[in-house]
Amino acid sequence: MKLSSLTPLMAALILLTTLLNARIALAEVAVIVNPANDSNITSDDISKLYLGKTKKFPNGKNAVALDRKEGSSERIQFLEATTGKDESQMKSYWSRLIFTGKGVPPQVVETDAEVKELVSRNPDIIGYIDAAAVDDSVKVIATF
Amino acid sequence: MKNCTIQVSLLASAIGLIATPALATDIRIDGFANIVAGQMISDTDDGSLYGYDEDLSFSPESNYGIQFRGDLQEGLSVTAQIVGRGSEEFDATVTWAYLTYEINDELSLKAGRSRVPYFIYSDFLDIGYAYHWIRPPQAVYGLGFENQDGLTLEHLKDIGDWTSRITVMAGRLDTNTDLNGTDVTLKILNQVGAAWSMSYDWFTARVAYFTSRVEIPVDDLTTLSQGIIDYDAGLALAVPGYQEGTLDSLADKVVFDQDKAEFTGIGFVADKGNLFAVTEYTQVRIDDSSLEDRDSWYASAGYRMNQFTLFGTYEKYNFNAKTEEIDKFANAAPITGVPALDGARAGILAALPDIFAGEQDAEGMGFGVRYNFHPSAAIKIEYNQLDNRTTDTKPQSIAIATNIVF
Repeated sequence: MKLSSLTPLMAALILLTTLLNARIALAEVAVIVNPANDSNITSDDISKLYLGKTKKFPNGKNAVALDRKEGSSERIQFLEATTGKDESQMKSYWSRLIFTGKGVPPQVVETDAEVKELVSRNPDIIGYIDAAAVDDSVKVIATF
Repeated sequence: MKNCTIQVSLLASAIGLIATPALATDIRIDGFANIVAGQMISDTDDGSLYGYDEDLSFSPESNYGIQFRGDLQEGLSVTAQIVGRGSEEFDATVTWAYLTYEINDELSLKAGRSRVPYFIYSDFLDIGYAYHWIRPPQAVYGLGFENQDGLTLEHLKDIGDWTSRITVMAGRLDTNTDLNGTDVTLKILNQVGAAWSMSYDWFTARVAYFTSRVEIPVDDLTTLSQGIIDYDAGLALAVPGYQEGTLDSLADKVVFDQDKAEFTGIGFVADKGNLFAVTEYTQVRIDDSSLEDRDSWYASAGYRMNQFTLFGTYEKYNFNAKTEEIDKFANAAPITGVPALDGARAGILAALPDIFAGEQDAEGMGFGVRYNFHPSAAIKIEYNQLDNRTTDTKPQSIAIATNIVF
């Protein structure tokens, strides 16, 4: 194979990579809490909340984590960035807790708007949404 | 069938309790199903693994379960799990039913029927989705009983970068089990013990110790034990210098009359990036019984590539039968010339080999692949073989499983 015949392929690959990067960059996920929540929350704290290892924010106040639909791009991205687990590993992790009565996974909320609504009304709630959907009603504590 | 109806109605009333408006907050239903098909690929003479034979069969390892959990607020919840097993015609039985009270963030108390944490995977044995094998290595996990009725105190605490989980249990179990090929009633009484695990990010170490009084009423064994005592008394009368009670320890070993049992387990899990490994070693001892000294262990490792996991396992068990008891008896019991006594001696000598017959020395190997084809479902194929040196057999099996959680 001649080198020149590879060039269009390389160009296509570079274009594809650029597009993929652009897509990821566009669909950033924002972790949000109520504006009244003054707790200093690290990425590790977020991971612990979503793994059911704690039910409180670092300031000692009650925390209720909201999850998103299985298979949604927000969820895949969020889990990878915080817990380092993919969806199957997360399912496996929670099935170990659910069937031993050791815990109940975070409730699933369907849309960005619903998560925002719930977070803006209740200072105990933490959720994550498409960063583009963020507005003044919520406080962003992390973006991935 | 009748049994099943009663259990279902019991559960219905449990749900009724939860659904009472004054208490009702939330009821959560979770389920799992494991559809496993397997068959032996070795000679019929080599025997069986996991209940399979030379034809493809679904029943030995398939099961399903539904769990109901009702939160009653203030830290109180009720959990009931109904499981149907292919090996029991898929009849639904309530395997767990317990009340959990979360005393505080670190401490919770459970009352009712639940799983005894003998092993790392004890808590989710039935949830095939939660581990990589089709079934955990039977050298260790083939204990024959898993649950108990009683109290469980659970303590979970972060200590620096480590998480400590301590489970303390007290309770009893009445069940049926297999004793040298015979189905018997087994009572595990006054069981107390604890499991303690320490986890740090990718690493977990765990120890467990349980002790109990084991009772297995078997008429023939009781008769034999009494026969040994009578024979011992006879010898004391007929043989000058014979110390009465010399055979008491043997008479005691023949029966399981609330004998002290001890279970010890130690295990490690490492799970980092794409690689993971797990190993467990367990020991079972019932000194005053005929049960052989049991030592078992396994080690398994796997490699994850996206939705695929490749894994391999080595397992080994050594059941050391107390056959020395037969020689001890032969040496301690003199031949007297009294026909009744010598007849009894011969009878006892003939019976003892069947009592101390549990010698097993075997090692096994398995490898397989898991593929998560759906966020809630996995498919697995696993090949296993056992090299049983005691029976000189090498059974080999292959199985394919679909594990679902919902």
